[in-house]
Formats: sequence, C-alpha cells, structure tokens
Amino acid sequence: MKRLLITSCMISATVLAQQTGTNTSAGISPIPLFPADGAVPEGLRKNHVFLDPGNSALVIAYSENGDAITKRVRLGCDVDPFFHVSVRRDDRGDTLYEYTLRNGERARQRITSWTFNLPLGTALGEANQTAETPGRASLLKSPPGWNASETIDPEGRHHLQWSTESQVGGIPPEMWWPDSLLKAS
Amino acid sequence: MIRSIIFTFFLSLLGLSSQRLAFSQSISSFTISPFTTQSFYIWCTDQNGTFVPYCTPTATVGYYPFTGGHNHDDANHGVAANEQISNITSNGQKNTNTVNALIYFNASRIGEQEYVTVCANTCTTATANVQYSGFQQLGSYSQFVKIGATGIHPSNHWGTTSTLSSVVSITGRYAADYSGVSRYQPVGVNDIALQGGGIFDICATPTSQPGKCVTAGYVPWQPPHNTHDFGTAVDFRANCGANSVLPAAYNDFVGYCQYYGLGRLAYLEDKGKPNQHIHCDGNTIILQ
Repeated sequence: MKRLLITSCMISATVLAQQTGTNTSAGISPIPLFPADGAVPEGLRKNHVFLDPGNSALVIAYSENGDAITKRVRLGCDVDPFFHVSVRRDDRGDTLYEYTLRNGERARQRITSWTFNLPLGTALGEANQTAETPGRASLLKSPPGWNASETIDPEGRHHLQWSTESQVGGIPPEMWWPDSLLKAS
Repeated sequence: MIRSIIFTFFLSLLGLSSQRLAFSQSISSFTISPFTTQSFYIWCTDQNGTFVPYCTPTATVGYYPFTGGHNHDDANHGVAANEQISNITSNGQKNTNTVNALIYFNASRIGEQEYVTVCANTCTTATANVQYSGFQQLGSYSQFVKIGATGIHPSNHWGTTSTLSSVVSITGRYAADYSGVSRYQPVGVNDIALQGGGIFDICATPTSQPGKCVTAGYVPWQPPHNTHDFGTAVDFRANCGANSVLPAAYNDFVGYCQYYGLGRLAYLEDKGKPNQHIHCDGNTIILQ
C-alpha cells in the first residue's frame, strides 16, 4: 500500500511538472492540433484540417488510395506588425493620412499585403477620376513596388489594400529601420 | 502566397495612433449567432509554440459592457444561470499527448461583444462577437422618419438587407397611395433590431418607462420584444400621433407588409395603448 501511494505521488508529480514546468501559453481554436507523432487519434479521424502551432501551419490530412497524405500550408500569422498612423492637413487644407507598417523582430514571415476596413458607409470613391478636382480629391498612393487599391466586399464595406507581388519584396522581419517601412498618404 | 493582415481601423480623430497587433496562432475573435453553439479546442504551448501534453487551460467567459447597442448595464447582466451571458461547457476531455480538450461556447440570446479567456501560465483572450451576421442600418428616405431611439438603445433600426428593402417598399407604397390624403405624414418607423440583433430588452430599469417596464418580461436582458431579435420585424407607428399610419389605411398597410415580404406576422399590435403600432415580421421563428 505504501509503495502504491509513493508511485501515485511520483506520477502526479510528473504530470504536474509537465503542466507547469515551462512557460506555457494557452491557445484556443476551432481547429484541433495535429499530433506531434502524426498519428491522428481515433476521435479525430473525421477531421482533415489540423493546426500545427509550432510551425505556424495548417495540416491537411487525408487518405488517397489507402495512403495517408499530409500537406502543410503556412499560415500568414507569423508576422509581428506594428502600425502607426498620422493625420494632418497640408497647406491646401487637404487631409493627409500617412500609414506606417513595420514588421517586428518576432516575425518569421514577410508582410506582403495589408488591408484595413473603412467605416461602414464610407468610400474613397473614384480616386483617380476626381484627383484633379480641388477640394474633392481622394488619392491613394503606394510605395515603389506596391499596389494600392480600394475593394468592396459582398456586404458593401469598402477596404483599402496595399500589396506587392514580388517574391523578395514585402516587409521582412525587422532587420533595420527604416527600410521596413511602408508609407502611403 | 500572399500573406495578409486584416484589421478594422477607425480614423475618428486628427492625430496619431500606434499599436502592435496580434501575434498568435490562436484565434483572436470569432462571430457566433445568438442561441447557437460552437466547439473549440484548447491547448497549451511552450515558448517555442510546441504543444505541451497533459496541460489543459481553464476557460471562462466575460462580456464587454455597453456593446451590441445596449447602452446600459446592471448586476443582472452576466449571470450565466439566467442565460444572460454565454457559457462554456466541456465534454470533460483533458489534453493528453494525443487528445485535444474540447469546449463548447454556448451563445446567449443577447447580442453583444463577449470574450473567452483561456489560461495556462499565461492567458489568451478571444473576442466573441455574439450577433447575427449581415445586418445593415436603415437609411433615410423621404417617405418615413425613424423614431424610437432611446438613451439605452440609441440605435434601433438595424436589420437584414431584405427587411430594410421591404421597409422602403412598404413606406413607398403607402406614400404613393395616401400622400394625397389629408393628415398624411411620412410614417414613423420604430424598432427593428439592435446592431447585431439578439434580445431587444426595451427597459434598462424596471422604472425607466413607467407603466411598461413594470410588466413581467419587460426587464433588462430579457424579452419580450420577442420577434425583434432577428432584424426581420418592424414596428410602424399607428397611434394617431405624429407620423402615424392613417387609421383608414391600417388594412392596406398590413397588406403592403404582406406583399413586400413582412407578412408572416402583420397586425395592429398594442391596440388602444399609447404605443399602438403595426407590427410586420417576415421571420418564421419565434423564441419563447
């Protein structure tokens, strides 16, 4: 009985150490985690999409001709964005919005696209067509190598988007300042 | 692969604003309809992002007051036992080295912004937007006036796009048929739904609307504005006050509601009371 009690305590202590021995962060997701050994447990056999937080990837697992296939898709969330906006009026009384986006030191991916939503009911409008109309101009600018556009989602909300197609472009994880700046006004 | 960062951003002030954005594989927000359930997996990771077996975080729910169009709060709010906040249940399964712990977020009937906090050594919080999706706010047209906004529910004209389209058609038809009649006025459009739907609790306190709020059911965080959860029900003023539907037009107006898609429940409600109105509803669901 005494030996059994000691054994139980050792098991409890081991589990406790596994629970609190590291600086653990909690996570929550509608997608289950992919097992480290790659063996999908019985209870999750009907799932085909898993999360691999250590590699910032989605794992697609399925069977093809009896073979277990897994494919990984990198998530776009291994970035460390830092955002800054300034608003001012120029000599003509026009309002200038300047956005600065930096990719921080914790990032493991480049930022190649970013978007923000305009408040419901607002839009930039036909920017280029009205750009020469004093006092009514709305002009969207972008840095070299980047494209700027205004998009509309199915619910009618307008978005401003900046993106680059360059494979080596984008804003890399922070290496030096200010080369990882994206400015638009 | 194009990587995106999408975030909502409001420029309301001239000046400067800076912020560091989220950095996690854990979700930061989700949207769920009132009275529905969604399952989530919860887990622990170490500083390298590696899954830590046998570690099951705790999970709790809270709410952000004064959201969802409710400009009021009180001690009754947030009592899970009374279904006045969403709650979390579990299948009892803990994380092992092969099994994920599963929790269920059971959304309450209140449309508002809530949150789930999961904690190991450190915590992660995900915002839960409890709301019906796709609501829009009723615009302004000459054939109606928007009424009924109060200090506790300052924005009461949200609904589905088809409902709002019906309101424009119904009031437009009424104007076309009756604007030449003496005493015609653009009709008053009262409550439709709050910003994200859910419970439209007319009263913030039992005495905020004397004579009405003492009635059973008219208490905060509970019905009875029963069919105004879904953005499909509209009240049109019909109490002989300003901007009322003309009494001679009541039957026609109900017919307009039926013709333009809000006729599943279309009738003169609170007849003889100060708030008499024509209630038109295109929904097929009534919660009790």
